[in-house]
Amino acid sequence: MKYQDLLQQLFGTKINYSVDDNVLLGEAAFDNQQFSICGIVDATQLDNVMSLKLAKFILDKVKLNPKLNLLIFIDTGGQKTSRQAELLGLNRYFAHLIKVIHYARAKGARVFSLVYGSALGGAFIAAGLNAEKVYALAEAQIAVMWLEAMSRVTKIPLAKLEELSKHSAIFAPGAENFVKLGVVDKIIDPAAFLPQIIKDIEDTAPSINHWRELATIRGGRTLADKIVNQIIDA
Amino acid sequence: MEKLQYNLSSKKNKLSKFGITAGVVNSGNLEILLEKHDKPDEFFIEINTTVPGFAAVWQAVISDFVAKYAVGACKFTINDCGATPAVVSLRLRQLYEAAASDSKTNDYTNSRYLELNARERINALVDDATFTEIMPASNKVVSPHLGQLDLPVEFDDGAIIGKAKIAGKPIYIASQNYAFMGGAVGEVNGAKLSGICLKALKDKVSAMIFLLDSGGVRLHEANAGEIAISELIATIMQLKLASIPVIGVVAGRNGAFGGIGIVSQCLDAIIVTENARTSVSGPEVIETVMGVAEYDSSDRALVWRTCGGRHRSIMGDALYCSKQIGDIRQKLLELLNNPTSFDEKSLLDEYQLLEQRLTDNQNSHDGTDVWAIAGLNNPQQIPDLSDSDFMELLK
Repeated sequence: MKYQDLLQQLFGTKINYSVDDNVLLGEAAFDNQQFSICGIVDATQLDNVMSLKLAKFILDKVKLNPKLNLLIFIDTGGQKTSRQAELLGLNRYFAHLIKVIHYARAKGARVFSLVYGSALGGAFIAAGLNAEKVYALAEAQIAVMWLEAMSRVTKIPLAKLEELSKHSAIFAPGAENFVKLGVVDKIIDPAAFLPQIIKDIEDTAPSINHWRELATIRGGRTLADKIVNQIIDA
Repeated sequence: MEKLQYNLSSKKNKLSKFGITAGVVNSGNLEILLEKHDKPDEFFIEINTTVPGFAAVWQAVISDFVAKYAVGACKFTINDCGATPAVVSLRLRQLYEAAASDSKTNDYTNSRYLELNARERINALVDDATFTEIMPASNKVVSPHLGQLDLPVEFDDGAIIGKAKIAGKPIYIASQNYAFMGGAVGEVNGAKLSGICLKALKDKVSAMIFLLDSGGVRLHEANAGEIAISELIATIMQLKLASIPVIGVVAGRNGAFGGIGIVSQCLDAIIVTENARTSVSGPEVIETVMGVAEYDSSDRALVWRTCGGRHRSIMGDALYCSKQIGDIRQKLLELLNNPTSFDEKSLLDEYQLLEQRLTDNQNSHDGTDVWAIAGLNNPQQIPDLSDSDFMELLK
């Protein structure tokens, strides 16, 4: 879905935003709640400039009001694959954004993300996956890497990966798989998204996400939670 | 995969250590775990191999081993990844000798960090005989996902975690086994890393230390690996918020790439050596996607100028250190004693540094351009400097 249509559908006229360098920044309102909104548009690869822009926006908003509501809209083709981006330390730019989001959460901000397009690889780690809850539209494309590329890198025949991906949420692309693995809270209709967030805000924010517990319940990852608890008690 | 099992009679062993392993699950290599067996005059061995059809050869190698050593009441379990008979014999002997030795410590003074395995690196850096592994190989918590791809498992899934002391201070530590699946993170491996962080948070230890050596997400369980890395990052953030130092060392063979490259910059600090490399996408990935004109991954000098330890140190993203074990330990101690803060000011300072870097380097296309802008004289010569000359230059 195009971000213009999505935002129109979500907020109607109660929104004010700009898009520069494929970074969306703005303010919106719904049901008497104020939201700071930010995100990545047009499946752009996340680079140094974009990460820094997102981080600065969030940091400034936290300074004004630590208890803000923040929505992160995700449509990214992954991390910027360029020598220049890596030369200047893309990993530090990503880490800066991650730190800012977690700092905001610790200060009392309520942070949610919605995958409305693609969410690939390192860019998802840098942005959307740091929210307290992650939602996805039915059309969302979530993957670490597409199967063709995975086949090239792992040297496992594509046919075998395709066959396994029918039954395995563990490595096959698809938003449904990320639901099963406990990360995406649920697949949601645009019309239901903001009412859901209003409901979420009424609950207490978790300091650590409950993805592993959800993954156990949903059967996507059967060992992760058990292992973590065994180690904590060791 | 093929499973073979043999029972052979042998005199009761006089070994002193059980639950230990030898070798690593890597192409042409194998891992053997030693456990106790309930029959005193019998040796039991189980082999899980990726190369079926060699039962006769296995039997010959094992019979030869049992003829030379008293291994009654021992159980060996092998995860094989195509080791030759010579390698199998060598590993069997190494395991026996390690189990027979009663020394508790090794002297790592003259060891090279790069050449040590994941467990040895921990033992080399922490106070003598203080490392206690949590969820060790003998617990056999292995990946449930590799089997369906006909790939061998490793008993620790490539993540070594536990408690230890540095200069008497209690720390928790995690070390990535670069030799098993490139140190990459999957469901089990990642849960071990998150688990030890959450334990550090609960027990309020003096520091959480990561010996990173990984290409990032294990593609064979890609989604689980990516999620595990995000979960790890969330626990690292909790440690930072609780003012527990989280420190990394990137000085191994694989460096820190992909999600682990991101993790490395989430820590309070990372110590790097000359051979260290770290970024998000590795040179091979960028070359594959963008073409050789963008990034020639076979040009080692270019790779080091783009993501090497010296480059990262000059930019301020890492702390440079010599390859000496003692020096790396000393650097760890300094960081333990000087915790960094995680607050609005530290984030604003970092913002300014990163903003300035972009402004200054609009026309930088090579490490040497960045170093010149950083004010270093003769940037072309920096890769050739000795460690001590380079560290002098950084001052």
